[in-house]
Amino acid sequence: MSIQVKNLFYTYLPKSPVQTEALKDVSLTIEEHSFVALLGQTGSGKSTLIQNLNALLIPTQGEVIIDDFVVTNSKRKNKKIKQLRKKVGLVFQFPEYQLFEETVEKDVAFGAKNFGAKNDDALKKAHYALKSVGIDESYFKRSPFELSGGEKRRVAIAGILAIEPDILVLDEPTAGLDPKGTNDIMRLVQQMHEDGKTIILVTHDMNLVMKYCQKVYVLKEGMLAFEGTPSALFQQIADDVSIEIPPLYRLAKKLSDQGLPICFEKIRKSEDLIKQIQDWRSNHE
Amino acid sequence: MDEIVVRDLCFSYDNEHETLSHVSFSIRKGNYVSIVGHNGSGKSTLAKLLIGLIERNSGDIFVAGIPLSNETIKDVRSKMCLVFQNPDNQFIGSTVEDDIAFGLENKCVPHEEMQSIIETFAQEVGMSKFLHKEPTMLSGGQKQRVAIAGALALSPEIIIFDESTSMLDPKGKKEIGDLILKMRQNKPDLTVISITHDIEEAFLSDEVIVLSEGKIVLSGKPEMVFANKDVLQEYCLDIPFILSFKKQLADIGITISTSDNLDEITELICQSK
Repeated sequence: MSIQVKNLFYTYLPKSPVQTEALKDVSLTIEEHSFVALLGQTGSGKSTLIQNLNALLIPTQGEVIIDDFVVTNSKRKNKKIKQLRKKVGLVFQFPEYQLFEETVEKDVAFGAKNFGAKNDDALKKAHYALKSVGIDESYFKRSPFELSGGEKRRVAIAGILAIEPDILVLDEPTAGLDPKGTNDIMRLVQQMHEDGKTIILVTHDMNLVMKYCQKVYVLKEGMLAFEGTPSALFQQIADDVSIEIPPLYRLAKKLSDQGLPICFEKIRKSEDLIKQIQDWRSNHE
Repeated sequence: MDEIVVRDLCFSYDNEHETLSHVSFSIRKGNYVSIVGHNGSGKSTLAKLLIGLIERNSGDIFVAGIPLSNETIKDVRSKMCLVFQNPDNQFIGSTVEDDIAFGLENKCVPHEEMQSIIETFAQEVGMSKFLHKEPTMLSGGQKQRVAIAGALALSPEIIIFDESTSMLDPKGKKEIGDLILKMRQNKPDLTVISITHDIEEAFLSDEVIVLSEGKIVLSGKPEMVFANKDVLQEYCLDIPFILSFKKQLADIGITISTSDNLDEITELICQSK
């Protein structure tokens, strides 16, 4: 299920004195089963774009095409919107703030029930989703408010997984977590990607982008400013303060400038650069 | 001279599970100390205890030589300020100017003196042009800078940052990082305590304290604390990129003992063939 955004414009409060053009002529295609990042400074239009991807917002102009769903600003009501929202799961920033039910399992089942699953079936989906985020059975009947920050976040993500979306959009899923919490969440996201879901990650953490994402899209003032691989991005934006180039990439770049044969596209983790240094040294022996 | 001394500090929210257990440490005047630890390790609780927002179960806290108690709490608070995590939760005034004024009003600073103090500290944090702006017009980094101006205006001896950059984008983080450096240059006596998850940021401080499950498990100079990757990983923490990469280089026979600078490491790698 690929996502096509065609000439998308979105204006908040159109024709009012405070109208704001949040997206201006954005076109992009996100391939099925890919793992991509959406980047940009605060206010660049990222949140507006992801809300257009599951029809929480309807384009002012242009279209969003996901499979055979076409969302446009037509007078006719978009009948299939509910189905589309089931396909594209949106995990907002700090999703744990939205937990509200008495027990963990009820909270996770809530979304699935909303999309028409019967009680038992919704609970079954909830249990499966909870296990897949590493929350074991002893937690199911507990109040979500007794959990630690990292656990709450995993429960909140499980709530979206229980809806069984094909595309998962995560807005800053690691914000405020410690390094272990961050690793746990990213491993989970990677697993969902391996299970066949398309992943769209909104983040400021370039280390994560470098490690996990195949492609990045950068928004700037409501327009698409860049589209390509993470290393192509880092190469291009050397001085942009809004994107923090990972030290691993900076070191690779310095080595390359000194004449080492560095293949940037193959560097995701420190080990990859170490391997290239090793290969270079053995070629010189 | 020790600005803060904590001895055998214990605290529990529910009288069952100890959030902080027998914590002891001291911080020298003018030092920049980072407190790191996993979520739930007790970092923020420690900050709240230091400033007297919550009351300890046992142990002693001395701030600038004053033992913290119900009688001295006003004196102690007048010496320190806390900057919180969420920029939106601490913006009280309706404009930047009002927000900086809030603490001064509380402290009963005469109105005629207030304006010049506000202008001085708005300038210190680079927000002079925004005095009449409302918070909705500001970025997260700008709001945190206003919070810092409000704190500095009270001329504290100690400033505590409780994950103050964790909700900011890289630009905002850099603004705050640069401001901390500038503050320390202008006021070398100011003691800075930063509670953070950002290991690269902690690497820049004079000293690092590592908390895990309410206990201090490591403390000392950053290069010493971060030297042990395995121990830190046990406490759910990473080590700064440079140190971890140097370790990996050592494993393939490139030993770099002293340098923590990317250019020098590059040079040493190039010479290693």
